[in-house]
Amino acid sequence: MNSWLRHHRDAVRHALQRLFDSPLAALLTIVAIGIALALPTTAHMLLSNVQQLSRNVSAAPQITVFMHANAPREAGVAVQRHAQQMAGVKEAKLVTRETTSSRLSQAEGLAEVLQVLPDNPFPDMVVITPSSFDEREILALRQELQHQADVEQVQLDAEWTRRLGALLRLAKQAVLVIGLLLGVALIAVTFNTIRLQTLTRQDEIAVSRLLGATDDYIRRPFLWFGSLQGLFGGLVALGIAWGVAHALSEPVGALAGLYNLDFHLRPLDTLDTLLLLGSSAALGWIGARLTPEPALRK
Amino acid sequence: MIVFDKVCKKFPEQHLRSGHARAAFALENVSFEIKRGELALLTGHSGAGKSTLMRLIPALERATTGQVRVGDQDVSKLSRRELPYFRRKLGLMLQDQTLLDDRNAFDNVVLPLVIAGLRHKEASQRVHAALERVGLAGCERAFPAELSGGEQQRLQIARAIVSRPAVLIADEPTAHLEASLAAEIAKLFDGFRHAGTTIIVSTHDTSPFDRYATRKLHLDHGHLQ
Ligand SMILES: Nc1ncnc2c1ncn2[C@@H]1O[C@H](COP(=O)(O)OP(=O)(O)OP(=O)(O)O)[C@@H](O)[C@H]1O
Ligand SMILES: [Mg+2]
Repeated sequence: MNSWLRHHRDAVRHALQRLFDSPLAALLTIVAIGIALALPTTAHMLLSNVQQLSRNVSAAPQITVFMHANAPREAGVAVQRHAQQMAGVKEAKLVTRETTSSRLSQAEGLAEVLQVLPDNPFPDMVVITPSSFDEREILALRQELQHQADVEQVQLDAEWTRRLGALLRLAKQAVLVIGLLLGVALIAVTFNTIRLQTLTRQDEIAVSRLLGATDDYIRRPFLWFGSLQGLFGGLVALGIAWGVAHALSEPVGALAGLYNLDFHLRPLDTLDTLLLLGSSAALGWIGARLTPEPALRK
Repeated sequence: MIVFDKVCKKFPEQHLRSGHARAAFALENVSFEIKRGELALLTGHSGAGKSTLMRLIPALERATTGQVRVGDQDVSKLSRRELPYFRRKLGLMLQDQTLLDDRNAFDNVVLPLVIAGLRHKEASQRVHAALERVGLAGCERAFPAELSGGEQQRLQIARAIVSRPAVLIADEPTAHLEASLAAEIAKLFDGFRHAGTTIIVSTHDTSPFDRYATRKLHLDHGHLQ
């Protein structure tokens, strides 16, 4: 082992020793860092899940073409035929106003309402399943269908998932901002811990300098301390996120069951986990690195 | 090996707490040379400037004017980067206690070797040898607070010699020690000298080192006599 590695090994040992020298203070700092990091981490995890869910739901987009209320039946049939010829259409079904009316009159409470109405209030509909999920292609389909004769309105049933998607993107951005702010907080907390440490270690620093320690030698244990403290804080955050996922998985599963969805709450994936641990260690390192030179020079 | 050339050292004006005028210079126009393998003895009254002179050698203080050289190195020209490596070649024993209270004897003595990046096995052999040399074999686990004044002094000597420095600088290494112990340390230093180390020692009481010194320097109010 060369002396560079030896120096790092010693620095890690010293950093751990400093953590264990005042275990309560270290624990409190680590837990504080962990809780601060857990907030954006858990939010990110939950949002990722909702995003995943919305993708699953919108997997089968539908286009509903509403005909004019007084359009002849042939108009609806023509639209259905036309749609079936169109590229990007998997299936096109005509749903007549009679079908809709009779289906709805079986629904409780609606039968009476329908009986009161003089005419059948429903228009003929053509329900189209596109073969592609691509938003642009679907919009093009909608554009074309809009121009058919006697078409009143074309509705994309996936509209709400698009809105949800936009909302989720916004929420993710908010989480990112919160994450950045808490990252700055982590740097500040580390900076303060290390500054206090340099004060209580003035003797050690002075003696080491006397014996020929370089700036790097003096700094190294502090940098490791900051990184390790950040890393342990990241592990706490990971634990909290995991706990939340575990606690929510059953109720969420039950809820999804009600909607016939096959959905399981997923904990952080490997990439996110590595990102969390890596950045918490890096932020701790930065906090330690910011320690002003004079504090280490004495 | 150690050369002072017209060295002056002036501390920044102190607030005149007592109202007494103080000597303008801690050292004034000090010139001397100590050759390789010599044991130089520095004497002088309290406040004469002995510690100031000693602290100039490892650049703990910088000369106001004049030149301090160790080997062929001009100490005042050392950069921040070079300074640590320069200090590793010196064995230092300052007047004020510089042992670390929260480390045991072994960890205190091994520190210069850890800083130099020595392999653990070799470092620990050297520490044991150094402790044995100063008569502290078996005290590895003791903390400084558990050692007597004389033992602490010897622990500092062990730390100063453990890296086998070419130059040993010892400021009052026998202060507060009884005569027999002081004589023993003087003899120890003579041994280091015979092993090739260049040594500069300061004392109030010259007796223990008198017979071993190859050169005597006497300071009076910052002037070399
Ligand atoms: N850091 C400092 N700032 C200001 N004045 C200082 C400083 N260090 C030393 N002096 C002054 O320089 C003079 C020489 O001090 P020095 O410590 O070198 O004396 P000394 O010969 O070692 O004395 P002693 O035998 O008591 O240790 C004294 O007048 C002292 O007050
Ligand atoms: Mg002195």
